[in-house]
Parts: sequence; C-alpha cells; structure tokens
Amino acid sequence: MTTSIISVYIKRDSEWYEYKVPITGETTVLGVLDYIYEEIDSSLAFYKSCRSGRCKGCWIVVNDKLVLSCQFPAVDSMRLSPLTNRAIIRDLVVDFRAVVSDPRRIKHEQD
Amino acid sequence: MKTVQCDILIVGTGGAGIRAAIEACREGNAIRVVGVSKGFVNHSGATMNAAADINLDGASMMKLLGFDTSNNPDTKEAFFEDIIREGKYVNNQELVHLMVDEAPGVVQELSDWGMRISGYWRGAGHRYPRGILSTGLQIMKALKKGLREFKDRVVLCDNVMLVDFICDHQGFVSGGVGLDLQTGEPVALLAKATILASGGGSRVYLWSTGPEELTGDGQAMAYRAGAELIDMEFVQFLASTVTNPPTGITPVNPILNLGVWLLNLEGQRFMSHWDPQRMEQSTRDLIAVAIATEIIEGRGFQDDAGEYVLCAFKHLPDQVIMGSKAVKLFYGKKAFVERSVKQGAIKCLLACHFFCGGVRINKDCETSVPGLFAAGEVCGGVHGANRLSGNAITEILVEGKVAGKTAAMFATCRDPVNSEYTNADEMIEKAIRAHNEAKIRSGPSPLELKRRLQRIADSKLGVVRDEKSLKKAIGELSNIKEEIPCTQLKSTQRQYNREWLDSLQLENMATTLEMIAMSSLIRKESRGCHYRRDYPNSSIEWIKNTVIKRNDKSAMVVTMIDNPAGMASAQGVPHDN
Repeated sequence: MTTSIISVYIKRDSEWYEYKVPITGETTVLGVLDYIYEEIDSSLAFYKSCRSGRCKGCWIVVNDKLVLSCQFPAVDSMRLSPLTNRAIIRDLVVDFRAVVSDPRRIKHEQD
Repeated sequence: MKTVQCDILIVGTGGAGIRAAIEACREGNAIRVVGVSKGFVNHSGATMNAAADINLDGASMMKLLGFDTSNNPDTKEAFFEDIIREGKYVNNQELVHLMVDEAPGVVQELSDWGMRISGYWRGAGHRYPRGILSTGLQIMKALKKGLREFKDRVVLCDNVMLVDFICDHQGFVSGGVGLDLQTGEPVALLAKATILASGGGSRVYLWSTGPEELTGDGQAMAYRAGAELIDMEFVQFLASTVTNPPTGITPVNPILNLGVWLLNLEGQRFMSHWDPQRMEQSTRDLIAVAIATEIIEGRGFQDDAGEYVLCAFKHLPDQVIMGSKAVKLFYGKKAFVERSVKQGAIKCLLACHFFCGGVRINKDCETSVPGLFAAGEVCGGVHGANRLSGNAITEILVEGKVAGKTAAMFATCRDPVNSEYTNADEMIEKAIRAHNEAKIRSGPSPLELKRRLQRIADSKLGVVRDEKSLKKAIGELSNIKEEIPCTQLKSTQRQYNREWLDSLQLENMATTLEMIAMSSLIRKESRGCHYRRDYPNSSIEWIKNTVIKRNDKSAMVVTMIDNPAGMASAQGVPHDN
C-alpha cells in the first residue's frame, strides 16, 4: 500500500492550523486526528468513544459538511471545525447539551 | 473546589449505571443520585456499543414476545446449566441463579419502556433460542425513558473521570474525587453509598471491540480501595475485523454463524483441529485460541497493522450474507458489508471483548468494602471462565437493579458524609498533581507509556499465555509503574486536556494488567478463555477461583478459593474439555 502525505486544516480557537499527515491506504478522519494527537500535537482536543458510528459523539464539520469523524474517509486539504450549533469546550470538542441553534440546520461558516 | 453531596454516587452511566439509578430511586423516595461518566453521558459507554442479544430462558422469552411457548422447550434450569457448563464450572452459582431468575422481569421492563425488538435467535453455546435481538442504542433509549420518572432526583455529569474513591475514618467508601475534564477542575463527590458500574477494561489491549473509555479504571480503583477482585485471568477475545481503518473494530461472530470459513495462510480451515463438529460455529474461547495459535505458529497473514487470518465467504451465495437478519442488525447499512462481499474474504484478528472477571460481589451486589457496591461488567463471577453470547446485557440489567436497591437501603441508614473525616483532600491532590507538575517533570509522555502497556498486554497477556512471558510481563509492568509518576504533559491547558486524561488512566491500566498477569500465572491450567500453552488441559482440581486483594503493605496478593457448587456440577455432568 502506498503512503501519501495529506494536508489537514483544523480550526482551533477561531484560527486555522495546518498539519501534514502521512496516510496509508484507507483512513478515517478520526484516524487522522489520532495521528495528530499521538505524533504531532498532543494538545489537540477532540472526542471519540466507540469508533464505529454508534455513539454519535464524534460529530465534526469536515469541508462544511456535518460528519461522524470515525466514519468519514480522510481526504487531502480537508478543513475540520467544531459543530457550530453547540458551545465549544475546546478545539473540536463541543458541549452537546448546550444547544446554540436548531441542530438539524448546520450553517456554513464563512471565514 | 466544587463539593457535591448526594445519597448515591454512580460511577459510569451505561446500562448498569442507569438501571441502578432507576432502582435506587424506586427503593427510597428521597434518594438523590449523581452519576458520572468519563465521556458524554449520551455518547459513551459499552452498552451503547452492543449489537445486542439479551438472554432470558426460552419459555419466558416466547411469552414475552407473545409466541406459543410449546415451540421452545427451554427452561430456567436449562439456561442455568448452559451458563455453568460453558463457564467451565467456575461461575458463582448464586449470581447465576439471580441472573436467570431476574432476567424475564428486567427484559420485560425494557420492552415496556419502548425498546424495539427485531427478533430472537440461538447464540453459540446455547441449547435453545433465548436471545432477544435489539441494539445497544435501543436499550439505552429505553433505560433513559425509565429514568425520566425520577429526573428531578438524578443528575448525570458529562466528562467527569473518577480518580479514586473517598474513604472515611471507619474505612467506608464515601463517594469519590473526580476530575471535570471540561473545566480541568477537581470535584469531590460525597455520597453515602457508591455504585461502581464502570464496565470492563478491554482498552488495556491495543485491539478492542469496546469504546475508548474502558481502561480498567473501575477495577483498579476498587483494588486501591481494598476490594477483592475475582477471576481476572478470564479475558474474552473475539474474532473481529477492521471496518473503519485504522481503529474501527467490529466482531465477526454474527457472520461465523452463517457458514463462513476461517482460513490460515495455507488455506486450511484450521478450526477442524480444535472443534471438528462445530467448526466456525464453536464457542468464543476456542475460536480465539485457534486464531491466536495459527498466528503464533506463523500461519497467519501479515500487514502494517499486524497479523490476522481470513474469514472467507466466497463459497456462499451473496444473498446469504446480505440477506441475513443478524448481519443487518449488527452492521446496519454499512458499506463495509457490501465491500466485504465483493472481496470474498475479510481480515480476521483478535480483539479484546469482555472481562469475565472483576470486582467480587455477593448476591446483593455488595463488594468486600462497606459502602461500595458494583454492577455490570466491572464485576466478576457470573460468567465463570467464558461468557456466552447475550449474557452481558442480562448481567448489567440484573446486577444494576440489585445494586441500586441494596445501595439505596444502605444509604437510607447512613448519616451524611462529613468531608472532614475523609481522605478527600489527598485524592484531590492526586487528581491535579500531573497537571501541576507538568513543567518540572521530565519523564516519558503518557501516550508513550500507554503504548508500552498495550504492547505488553497484546504480546504477553493476550489469548495464549505461558509462565515465562507472564513473569516477564509482571516485571515490565512494575518498571512502568515506577515511571508513571514522572510522566510529563506537553500541553498545559486545563480544559479537555486529553494528555492529562491519558496520564490518569495509566496507573489504572497498569494495575488492571498486573491483576490479569498475577491471576493468569497462578492458574496452572487452561479453562474457558484462559489458555496456557504450558498447561493446555483443564483439570478438575482447578475448579476454583482466583481472588486478588491488596494487603496491608500495599502488595498484590492472589489466593485460590474453592468453588464447591461448581465442583458438584462438574461431577454431575460429563466434562467436555
């Protein structure tokens, strides 16, 4: 299997940070976040639990689309940001109980 | 610092914890409950992960589903016998009786609370169909509905990791000290009774079917509080596959029932050596040992992620897989099934699935420490040496109910906890130490140690064990334990600092692994999911249980206790191992 380096942009505290992540074969967005936490920057905050799409805890916004990070394949130049309708705890972790607006209508973020 | 007073503290908000909360509120109408979860309450825990079958005796099941009971000759006695036989006679029979007797009631309740049932089946190792099929999400939804009645008396807290139990001057457990991950502040939770419902510890291994949270915290905290733990050597592994690389692991056992082949590098159906009759439909313990042996003896496949065997279904018509009710239920509409069918075979590796052992409880779910109760996977005894498919959910519901009731009775009779008489301050110090000392420490990162622990677990405490590697593991674990207080956090934020969380989990992981290693070493035979290649056979003299406890000098002591009921059962029925 071939390894390629992808660019990942993560919105942390309203600023975008770029990370270079090597991926081999197929990887999920969560796999990329794990790699960044383990190998590049251990201060990155994100949430995961079941890793199989059941717990619905790892919702994040990838390229303006609402996805479960454990289910969504990683792509080059992807932009990751926290949910916009929940209060942010830190980085990509949001307080699921603190609803900011209708959860079904995730608005696009202009930056 | 925040201090919270309550009647009952529940550690873990999965199935056992929520069921305990419901029962505690029913038992005492003034009881106030606080439940804490290491993750988000609605987005964590092992129950939610379950692709569940829930067992109860077949007769009661048919009645519950509204079918004719004459189609299913199963009885409570037969259910009981199956659990004891497949648990290889080392079960705590009192707990098994409790589970079998209470099962119909607790499952009926779930159904009344709106749990959707999608059918029933006969899981591997059961003589008759007795597993009601549903999902973990449905179970949690139903339990949350049951809890709604008491919502003004129950508070559930997200993202609070319990660091240790608080003990008062009489040695009673009186709540615990937690770290609120969201704010990074410690919180003292003072409670008259404490229920441990934190689940198993399968994440001490690298590959696990459980969620991230299961790092053996409950087992280790109970140990440090002086509680006894039973049968820690019985760790169940499940043939699994990788669905969402690199970490998404899903069991393949629902597929194993469909007639697939497990193949090694030489293309042989290796299960023929282990269980010629049942082949791939054998019990979990045998399949795990077979796969592990193929890999150890060099007949496995290998790639970057590790070694594996193949689970092949090219010989089956596609419809068999795609049309299977179990496949639909367990894997949903996931593209993985379609993709797998196209490939004709999938990777099959071993992932840690369940801790049969755990905190020792009696039939009232009391631990050996006053004030501490336990329910669910964190407890040991009921499954013996091997858990049958579908018994996990039944266990958590029944034990949750009993623990809730007993804890409420205990709390009603006890005065409120006075924090002056406890060791709460010391525990708070422990919770924030890693963070406070981040700048002056110079040791390895928590992640590095976590990896090293998981590597020891996988290589020496996995499915196949022997004396030499167990002893080596114990030595390596004690070295790592010395390094844990020196771990250095690279990030010093207080809010949601994952490194801090990892550092707090390390000691728990190491203690849990040490307990597994110590009890595996003392059991010089193979039984159920404990397989020693230096002692590959079972022996009737070993129908005993291992009990671990901390002595006055803080050393881990393992003793063997007799199991007369198991011995009698074993002599009454032909022994098949």
